[in-house]
Amino acid sequence: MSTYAATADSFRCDECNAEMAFPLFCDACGTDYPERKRMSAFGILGLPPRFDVDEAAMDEREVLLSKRLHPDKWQAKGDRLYRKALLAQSAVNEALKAVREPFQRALTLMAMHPEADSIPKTVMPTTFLMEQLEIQEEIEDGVDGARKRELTKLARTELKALRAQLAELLAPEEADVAALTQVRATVDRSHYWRNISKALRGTAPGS
Amino acid sequence: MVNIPLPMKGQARELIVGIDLGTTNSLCAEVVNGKPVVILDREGRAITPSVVGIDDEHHAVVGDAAVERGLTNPAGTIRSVKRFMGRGLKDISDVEVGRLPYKIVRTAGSEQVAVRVHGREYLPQELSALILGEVKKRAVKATGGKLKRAVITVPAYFDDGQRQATRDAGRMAGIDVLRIINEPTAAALAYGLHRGKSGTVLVYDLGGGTFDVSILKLTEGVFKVIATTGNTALGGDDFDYAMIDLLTAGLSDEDKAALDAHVQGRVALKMAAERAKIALSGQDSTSIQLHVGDVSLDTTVTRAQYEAAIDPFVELTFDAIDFVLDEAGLDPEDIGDVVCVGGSTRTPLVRARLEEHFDKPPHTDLDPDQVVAMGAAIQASMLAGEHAGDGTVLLDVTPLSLGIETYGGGCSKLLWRNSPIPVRATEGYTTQVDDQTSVDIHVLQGEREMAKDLRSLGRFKLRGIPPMKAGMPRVLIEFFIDANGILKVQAKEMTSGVEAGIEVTPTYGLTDDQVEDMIFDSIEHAEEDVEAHLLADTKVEAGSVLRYSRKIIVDRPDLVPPPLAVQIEAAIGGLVAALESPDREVIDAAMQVLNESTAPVAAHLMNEVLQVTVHGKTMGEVLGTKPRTKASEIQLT
Repeated sequence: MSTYAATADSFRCDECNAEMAFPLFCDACGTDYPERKRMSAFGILGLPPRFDVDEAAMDEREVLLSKRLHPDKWQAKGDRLYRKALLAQSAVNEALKAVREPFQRALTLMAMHPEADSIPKTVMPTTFLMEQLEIQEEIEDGVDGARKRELTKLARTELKALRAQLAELLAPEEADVAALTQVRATVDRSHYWRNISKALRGTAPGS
Repeated sequence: MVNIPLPMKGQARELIVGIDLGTTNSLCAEVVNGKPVVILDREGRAITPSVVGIDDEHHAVVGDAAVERGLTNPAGTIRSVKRFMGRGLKDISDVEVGRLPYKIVRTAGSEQVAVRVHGREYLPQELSALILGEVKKRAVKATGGKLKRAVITVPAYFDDGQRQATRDAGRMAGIDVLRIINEPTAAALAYGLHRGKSGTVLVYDLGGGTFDVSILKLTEGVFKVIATTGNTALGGDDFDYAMIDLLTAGLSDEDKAALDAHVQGRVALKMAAERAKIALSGQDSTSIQLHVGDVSLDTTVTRAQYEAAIDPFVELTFDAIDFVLDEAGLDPEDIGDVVCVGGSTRTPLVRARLEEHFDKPPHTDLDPDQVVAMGAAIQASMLAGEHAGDGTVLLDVTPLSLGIETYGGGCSKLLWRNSPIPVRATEGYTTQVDDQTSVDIHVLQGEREMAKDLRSLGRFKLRGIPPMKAGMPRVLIEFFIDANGILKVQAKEMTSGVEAGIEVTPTYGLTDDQVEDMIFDSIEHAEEDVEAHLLADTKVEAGSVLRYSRKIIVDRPDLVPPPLAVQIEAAIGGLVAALESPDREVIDAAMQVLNESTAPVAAHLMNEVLQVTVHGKTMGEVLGTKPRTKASEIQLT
């Protein structure tokens, strides 16, 4: 999506000219670049800002960055560098939080759009809300094993469909405000199904 | 395996160890030639009982000596001090206190509990430090080395305060604590699962009094905890009590009471149960004879009887397994390795059930009582830089969600449980009334929705906010959890740069039940919680709408002709009345009516705003107030 902030393929350290895996901190010489904190989560991780970002690529970046930046690796190198590595790893974890989970990823992409502020709030259709309310009430009243499995499957199927919908909406190079309005509605809808999943998971140990 | 002390010339070598500071037993290990080895003392013992004995002159003995003395000095013998680490008096159940031969008291000036022995108070950290000191002394004597640095393990479930207390105990024992790590993670390291292949590992940790289950993902030496859960009131002790019930089933109530009345009777029974448990791991039935005072006991217990008795407890652990799998979005067949930790996993029923559930035998090659210390030793050696080239990294998660209290008694979650650490989260807040110069920030931990149901970690106040219209200040709150799982909170008002920060030092702890409830109650009460949270939000919103509507009438009579004013006044009255109702929908409906009545004025104002903003004025300046943008932004008082 060209409207989003571009991802630089590589950064070189101004101080030591080493190639940097992570734009905020040079793990070769310890120089940090706090001004780059405003980069998008995708940019920080070195991933293309796309909804259909490759899961394997995401894991690969997480592994590579954690291996180089995790503060444990820096414990023996003094407090100053340890602190910098701590902040670097936390920036990696925060960026992953913004892109790892598909619904969150959609919101992150949405927020990167120049006209993000003009995307209207979702108005949920009454029929949908009624349906959700009925399921929630049913769970509250108690469901047997078979029904529980059935509802769990339903929630999973619905969430899968919503993810597919997001993939379609966010596939074009430039998603417009109309498409992003639908993205928001899709994400909002997912919250309801996720609440149902959570309610179904209920009977856990200690309870 | 025998650990051979290296002959030293001049100076002693430095020992870098991992310490498993357990509820019942403690031990330590170090890495020798790339392999973790448990350090045995000069008598060949691996384990130091986590027991402290204090005589009436306040001289302490620790470990085996304290156990021996415990038979004659029960009131001065302290066991299971780990249960009181980082805890308040309210957190310890009366049942537990009732069972103890010594007194648990509140320390002066703090909510922290202390143990009173022979008229003097001892903090749990001090007692743990004595245990750590004994472990250290044994290791030093046996190896001739110097012990300064160590990794100490804690249950995955330990909260911020409990971790902090453990760290403090280490410091008191003169140990530089390199890191606090979770017991299940250490166990996975001990099995060397971090080397070589990638995959998913489930660690099943059934100790004496606690149960933890964690799922870890391995990718090229990066060890990542995906999800963790557990039950802090379930463990081998339950198996012991089940066995005791079986052993005493044939006794009269009088005999049972007589046995229970004497410390010796209880100890003898507990030891008999332990023996029977171990015997039944290898054979189908066992006979137990016991004579205490006038009571004689001679009985046979079969493995089938025992397994039937403990089955409900084993079943509970599988509920936790299903729960954590579900949270991680995995099925049993996705788990590549199952690792057993804790002495209770020697129970054949547990192993059989694990094999059945995951369709593969669990790893049991290493001693389940030693595996945690071994893993901690590996981590210690990596942190000390000895194996920096090894490439292994441990990515841990925070076990409980963190948030801050919002106006109306809700909780805004800033970090969800199972978030990889270190991690930071920030959120913007603003003031609720004009010219408000301070903001109270209440830090909470747990899974429920309402502040009153969550554990209070601490409070702090941000002072010196320059007087501004309500909603104008921008207070940015930052939570930071470091690699040890210890939390720091900071707040800053962005327009003035005023800053405040605290190290969160817990004033209260939680009972084991409460920690448990924080997770599992939240699921039971999820609906009720969400509703209460929504109601609080709605009330706050209604307050804003009321203020805004009243302001319109007063400030802009030019836009409000008398008939409209009457209509708005009526709608205001309706909303004020509706606010008395506990029903969110009633309030919502009244708010809707008021919003509709002011809609024509709002539309006009919006037009003005749009024209003025072009000239650099803000909407707030035009309206004389700032309309709310987001519920969470105006919920702090």
